[in-house]
Amino acid sequence: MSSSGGSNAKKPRIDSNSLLSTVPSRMSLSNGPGSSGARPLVALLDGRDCSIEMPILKDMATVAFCDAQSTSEIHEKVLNEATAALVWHAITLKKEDLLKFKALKLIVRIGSAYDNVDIKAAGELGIAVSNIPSLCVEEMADTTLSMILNLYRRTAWLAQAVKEGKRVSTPEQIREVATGCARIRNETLGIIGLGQVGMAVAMRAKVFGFNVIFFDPYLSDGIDKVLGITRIFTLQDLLYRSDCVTLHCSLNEHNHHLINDFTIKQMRPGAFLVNVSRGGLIDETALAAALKDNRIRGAALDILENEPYNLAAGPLKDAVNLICTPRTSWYSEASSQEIRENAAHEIRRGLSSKMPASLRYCVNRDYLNVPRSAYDSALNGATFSSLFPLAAPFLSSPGLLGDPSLVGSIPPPVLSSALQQQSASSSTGNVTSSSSTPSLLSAAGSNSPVVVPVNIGESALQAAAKAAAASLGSNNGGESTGGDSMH
Amino acid sequence: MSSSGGSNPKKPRIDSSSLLSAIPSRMPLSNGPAASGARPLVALLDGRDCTIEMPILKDIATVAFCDAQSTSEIHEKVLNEATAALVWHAITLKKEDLAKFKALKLIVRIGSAYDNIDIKAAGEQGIAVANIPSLYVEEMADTTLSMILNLYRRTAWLAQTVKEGKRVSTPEQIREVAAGCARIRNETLGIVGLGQVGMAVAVRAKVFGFNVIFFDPYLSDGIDKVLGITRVFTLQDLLYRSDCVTLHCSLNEHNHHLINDFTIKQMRPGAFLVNVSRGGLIDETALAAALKDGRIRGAALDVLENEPYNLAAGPLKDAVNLICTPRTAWYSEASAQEIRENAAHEVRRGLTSKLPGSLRYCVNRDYLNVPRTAYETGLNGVSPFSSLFPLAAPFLSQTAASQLLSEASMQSSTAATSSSTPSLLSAAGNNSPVVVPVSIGESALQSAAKAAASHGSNNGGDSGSGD
Repeated sequence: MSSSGGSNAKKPRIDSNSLLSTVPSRMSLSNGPGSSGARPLVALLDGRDCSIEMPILKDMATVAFCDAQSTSEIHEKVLNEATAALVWHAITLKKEDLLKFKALKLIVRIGSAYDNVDIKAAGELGIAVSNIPSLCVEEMADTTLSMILNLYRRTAWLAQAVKEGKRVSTPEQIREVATGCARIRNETLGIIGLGQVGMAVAMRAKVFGFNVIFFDPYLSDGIDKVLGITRIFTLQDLLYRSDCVTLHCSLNEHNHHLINDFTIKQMRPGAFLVNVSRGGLIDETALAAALKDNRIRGAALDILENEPYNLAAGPLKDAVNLICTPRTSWYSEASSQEIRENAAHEIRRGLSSKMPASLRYCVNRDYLNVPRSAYDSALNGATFSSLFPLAAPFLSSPGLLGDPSLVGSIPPPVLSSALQQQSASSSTGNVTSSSSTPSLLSAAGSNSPVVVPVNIGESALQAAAKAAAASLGSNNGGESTGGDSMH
Repeated sequence: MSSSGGSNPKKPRIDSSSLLSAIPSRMPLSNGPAASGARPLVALLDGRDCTIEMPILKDIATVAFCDAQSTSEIHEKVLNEATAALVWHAITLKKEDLAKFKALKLIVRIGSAYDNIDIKAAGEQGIAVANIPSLYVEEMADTTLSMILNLYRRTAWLAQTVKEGKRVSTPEQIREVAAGCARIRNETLGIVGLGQVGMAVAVRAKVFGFNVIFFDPYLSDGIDKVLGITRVFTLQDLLYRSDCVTLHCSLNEHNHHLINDFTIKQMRPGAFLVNVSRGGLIDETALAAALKDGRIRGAALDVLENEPYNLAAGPLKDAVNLICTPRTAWYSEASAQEIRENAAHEVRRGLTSKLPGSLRYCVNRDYLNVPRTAYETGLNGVSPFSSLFPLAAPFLSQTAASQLLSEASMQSSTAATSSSTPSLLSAAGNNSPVVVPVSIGESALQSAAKAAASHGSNNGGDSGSGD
C-alpha cells in the first residue's frame, strides 16, 4: 500500500521516496482504507440490533449487522472489509471461519464466554479477541441461586402443578405434591470453579445455611479463608461430598464433559446439579440416564451442549425433574445494556489506539501475532516520531533502521531478519495467513526487543519504514497507513 | 361431675360431701372418663396419617383420625369424647364448632398459623389452643427467596417456555423471551412484619444486594440495628419505597385485606408482591386487577384467601405473571416430621400435666377460662392446699367454705360470658390471691369445691374429678 497521501486535507502530501515526508502530523483516526478517508467497518455478526452500539461507534466507524449463524451467511463485503466484529454466542468462529475475513483485526465477544471463537487461531491470524467479563456476575449468581432454590423448594414445579389444576387441600395431598422438598440448612453445596460468579454464589449460598465447598485447581491458596468456605482438592472429593453441585468454570480442553457417566457415579445418589456456565461441561446423554434412574434427583441448566439451543432435539427432551432456561441467566435489562455499551467501547478502543494494548479485555494476547512493542504503554503510545520529530531527516537510511539510541533498539540483524521474514512470508503469496499485524521490524517470535508500536494508525517512522519495505515489493497485510495517531 | 370414685383400685372412694375425702392421692393420669380408667381420646381432625403421632401418644391415649374438613363430618363419638385434637389448616373451628365438642380441653395446631381456630371462643369454653411456631422458619424463608428470585430472574416462567417448545437462539430472541428479568442489586425489598420468618428473609435478601426495609408496628426499637436493615414506620411509606413487597405477618382483625385496591395504588408501578403467610392478607380481586393492568408486575403466592386451596375458583384464575404454590412453603420432609412430633409432644404435655401451664406453645392463655392458678409452677405443680396442708381442709370453717362457694356460685353464673380466667375462688377480675391449681387431674380441694359448686351451677362442666 502506498504511503499516506490522498484526499485528507489535514495530512500533507508525502512523497514516498523522501524521508522528509515522514514528518509526523496529526491525522484523523483511520485504518486500512483510512488514507482515503473511509471509515472502518464494524460488523455485528450474529445479531440484528445495533441500537446501543451505534451511537458509540458511529463517529468513527460504519456499523452493520449480519444476523448470521455461520460465516457462510455473511455477506462477502463484510468478510472482505470488516475491521472489527461483534459476536454473541450464536455464531461459531473456527479457524476456517476466521480465514474468510480479509481485514479483521478485532473480535469483541459481547459476553464473557468465548468458546465459540477459536482464540488461538485468531491470534495466529493477528486478530485480537476480547470479551466483556464481569458485568453479568450478579445476574448469573442470582439465577444460580434461583435454580438451586427451585430444586430444593420445588417452587417452579409446584407452581406448574397448580396451574395445571391440581387440587391440593388436605395435609396428605400437600405432602404428596411437595414430596422432594428438602431442607437446606446443612446441605453441602459444591462449587466447581470459583471465579467471580462462583464466589458470588458462595456468598449467597452461605446465608441459606449451605455448607459451601469448592474445587478449583487454578486458584492460589487462601481463597477459602477469604469467604469462610471449604476448599476441596480433587473433583472426586467434591462430588462425593456435595448434595448439590454447581458448575462455574469456563470450558477448556481439559473439562469437556466434566460431568459424565463416570463422574456422575461419584456423586451422591439423589444429588442436584446446576449449570449456568458452559454447555460442553455436561454429557447430556449421561445426565438423561441419571435423571431417569434418579441418581440425580433434579437438574437445572441454562445452557445446552449444542447450538442452537434446542431442548427437544437433544437427549434431555423427555427428562423430568429438569429445569431448563434458554441462556438467559446473564440477562437483565441493565446488564444487557451495560455489556453492549462496553463492547462498543472496547471496539472503539481497539480501533482508535494500539492493539492489543489498548484493549481492556483482550483474551488472546499470548497467541496474538503482533510485536511485543504493542505493549509499550510507558510512552503513552508515543512513538519515535513524537520523541524525535525532526530526527527523521537526520537519520540516514541505514541508521533509520538500525539506530540503537532510539527507544527500543533495533539491531540491524533483527531488522534484516525481519525483512527476510517479510520477504519470505510474502513470497508464499498468502497475505491472509500468518502475520496479520504487519511490522517490518519484528522478529519471527514474539520476544523481539524491538519496540515499535504498531497500530492501525501508524507512526511516521513506521510508515516510512513500510514505504521502504514496500519498495522491496512485498505487502505485509497491507492495512498500515501513514501518519500517526497520537493524541 | 361427681367426685372421683369408681373402679380404679388406686384411688380410695371419696364421699363427695366429706372434705376428709379431699385427701390427695396419687392417681394415674386421666381425664374425664379417667375414673373408669379409660384413656383419653386424641383426634386428628383434618388428616388421615397419624403414623408419627401414634408412637408418641399411644401409651397414654387413644389416637384416632377424622379426615374431616368441617365439624359436621366428625363422628359423634369423637365430638363427645375427644379430649385433645390435632388440627392442620383444612378445618375451620369457629365458636359453634367448638361448642360441639363435649370433652375437649386442648387443640394443638400442627403449624404456626392458627387463624382457622377461634382461639378466643376456645378459651372461653376452656379449651387451650397451642401451635408449633418455629420449626419451619427456614423453609418458609427459603421459599420466599425462591419466589422473589423466580420473579426477578423469571426462572420458572422461562423453564415453562422452554418446556413448551419455544426456540430461542439468537440474542434478540433471548432478549424477547427474557424481557422483564431484572437486576437485583439496589432494588428495595419491603418486608411487612418482621417476625422470625421476616428476619430470616431479611438476612438472606441482604446478600443478594437488596436494600431491605421493613414495617412492623409491634416490634420494639433497635431491630433494624441488629440486622443492619432499615425500618419504616408506616405501611404507606413501605409500599411507596419497595420494588418488591413480601408479607410475613400473622392475620388479625387489623390486617385483613392489608393489600387491597387502595394500598396497591400506593405501591410502585411494576412492583412485585410475595405472600407466603396468610391468605386473608391480600384482596385477590384487587390483585387480579392490578396484575392485569401491569401495576403489579408479578406476584407469587403460597396461600389463597379461601379454603380449600383452589386457584381455579377464585378471581386469580386467569392471571398471568402469577406463581402459586399450594401451601407448601413450610414443607420439607425434615420440617414435616419435626412439627408432627412436636405437636404430639405438646398433646402429651397437655394430657399429663396441668393445662395451660404445661403447654409450651399455648396461644390463648389470656382467653383461657381456667383459674390463674394453673400457672403456679413455683410449687412444681403441687397444690398448696393439698400438699402443704393435707389435713387443713377439714379445718376450714363452713363459713369460709361457704364464702368460697358463694363466690364460686357467682363466678359460675357468669362463667359463660366475660371473665376469661375464672377461678372458682377468684373474684370477677383476675387479681385473685387464691392459688388453687386446676388441671385435668384436679387437686382434691378443687374437686371438693367443684363438687360443692356443682350443686349450684355447672362451670363449663368440663372439670375432671380427682387427682
